[in-house]
Amino acid sequence: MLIWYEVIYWISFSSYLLPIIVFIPKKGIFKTEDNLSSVLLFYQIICISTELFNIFYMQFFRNNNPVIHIYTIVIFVLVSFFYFKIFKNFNYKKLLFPMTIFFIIYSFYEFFNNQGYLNVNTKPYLILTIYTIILSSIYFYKVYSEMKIANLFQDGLFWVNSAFLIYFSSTFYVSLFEDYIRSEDSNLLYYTWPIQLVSTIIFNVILSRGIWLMRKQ
Amino acid sequence: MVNEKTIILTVLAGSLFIVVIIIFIFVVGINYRKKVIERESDYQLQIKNKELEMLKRVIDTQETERQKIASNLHDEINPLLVSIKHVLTSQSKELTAMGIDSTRISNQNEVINSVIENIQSSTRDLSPRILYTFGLPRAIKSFLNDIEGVDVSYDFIGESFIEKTETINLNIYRITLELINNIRKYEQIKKLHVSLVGSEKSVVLRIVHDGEGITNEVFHDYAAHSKGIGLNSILSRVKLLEATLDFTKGKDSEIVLEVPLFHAR
Repeated sequence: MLIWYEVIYWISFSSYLLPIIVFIPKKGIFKTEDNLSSVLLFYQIICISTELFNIFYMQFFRNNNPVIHIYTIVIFVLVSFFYFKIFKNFNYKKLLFPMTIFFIIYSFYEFFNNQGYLNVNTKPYLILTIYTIILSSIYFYKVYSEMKIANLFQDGLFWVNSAFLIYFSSTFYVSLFEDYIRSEDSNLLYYTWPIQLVSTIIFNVILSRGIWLMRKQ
Repeated sequence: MVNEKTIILTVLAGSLFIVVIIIFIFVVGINYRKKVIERESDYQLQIKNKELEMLKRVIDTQETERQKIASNLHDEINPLLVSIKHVLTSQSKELTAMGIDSTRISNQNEVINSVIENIQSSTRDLSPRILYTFGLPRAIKSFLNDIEGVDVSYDFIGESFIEKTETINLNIYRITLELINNIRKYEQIKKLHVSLVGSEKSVVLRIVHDGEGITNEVFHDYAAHSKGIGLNSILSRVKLLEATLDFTKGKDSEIVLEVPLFHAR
């Protein structure tokens, strides 16, 4: 089981590079004027950095939970910013800002007080997944009701949004059981985490497709 | 207590969950495409209907104006000319006695007769009462019978189906006249055969002649470059009727107009 887990883990880790490779523009990575692509690139950099930090923390401190706490907050802010940008005519998009502030405050509360930075931040992470699932569903609803795009399969944002929906739905599923499994036998997590790793691979492949199409557009 | 079997079932359920989401996304994408295509075809249909409606209005206005002119010619100019002719005829003896040459008087009479005939012919063309009274086959027959110097033949089948609406008949009549007049104008023909076949679904007009004929491409090329209204009037009426017009060049050149009756306006 461990060997398979290691294989899937390293494939998943390497897959973070795929969207970045697709992203590399002719004039250089950071010279793009496309805000949305930049947000996604930053998202990928955060993910890779977190994975690297995780490896580093696990080597020296045997606990990577503080990194996960910070990662959750940054990802929440990026997701909010991304959807704020793509919801051009959405009346409630201004709510994203106070929700983000509220989430940051709540996460810090969890970080210092309730769950503590040495424990897994299950609650904030669950909120992040539900938040992203709701936003991506709103996006699908808006696209479907507005009918402004000729072919969804040729639209970069559709793929990016699909990637978010698939990834955060599967991580939501895994997070639901994580606390309970951890309390019983944390070794059993090696069975459930591959779901998250496989969904990460799917996420990166679909995100690459989305970025590729966005760059073409 | 969590055992391995429960965990494996949970993992399988999780995998199924991911697969369901992926299928859901694909279904959304495919349904969306179908909806876009449907909306696009609805939009195209709306544009087409609007175009046809505009075309109908233009042609209706044209026909109304034609009827007005025909009515003026028939009811005002024609009676005046007839009365002038009567005056000339009745006073011809007196005028001859006054020394005016009788040949000049009879010449003027012939000119007036010719003008009256022309006016009657124009009135017929502008407002074909025979079409409104006796229907399309009779009107085309009447028009063909007046053609001189050409061996004309015709046959009409399914006349009961042909009598559908006045608009269809009037447009077919106008197209027929325009096509035959153009054939006579630009081709040296000796034989002309016209057939009109009516059925539940369509009316098919076939004009066969021994002239050189033209192809569809040449006809559309002429129509595109023509400054006159004849060819474009044919095309407008064909479009309004949602009909097809085919030209075949050959030993017996042929023009076929097929008008669908269910879709015709």
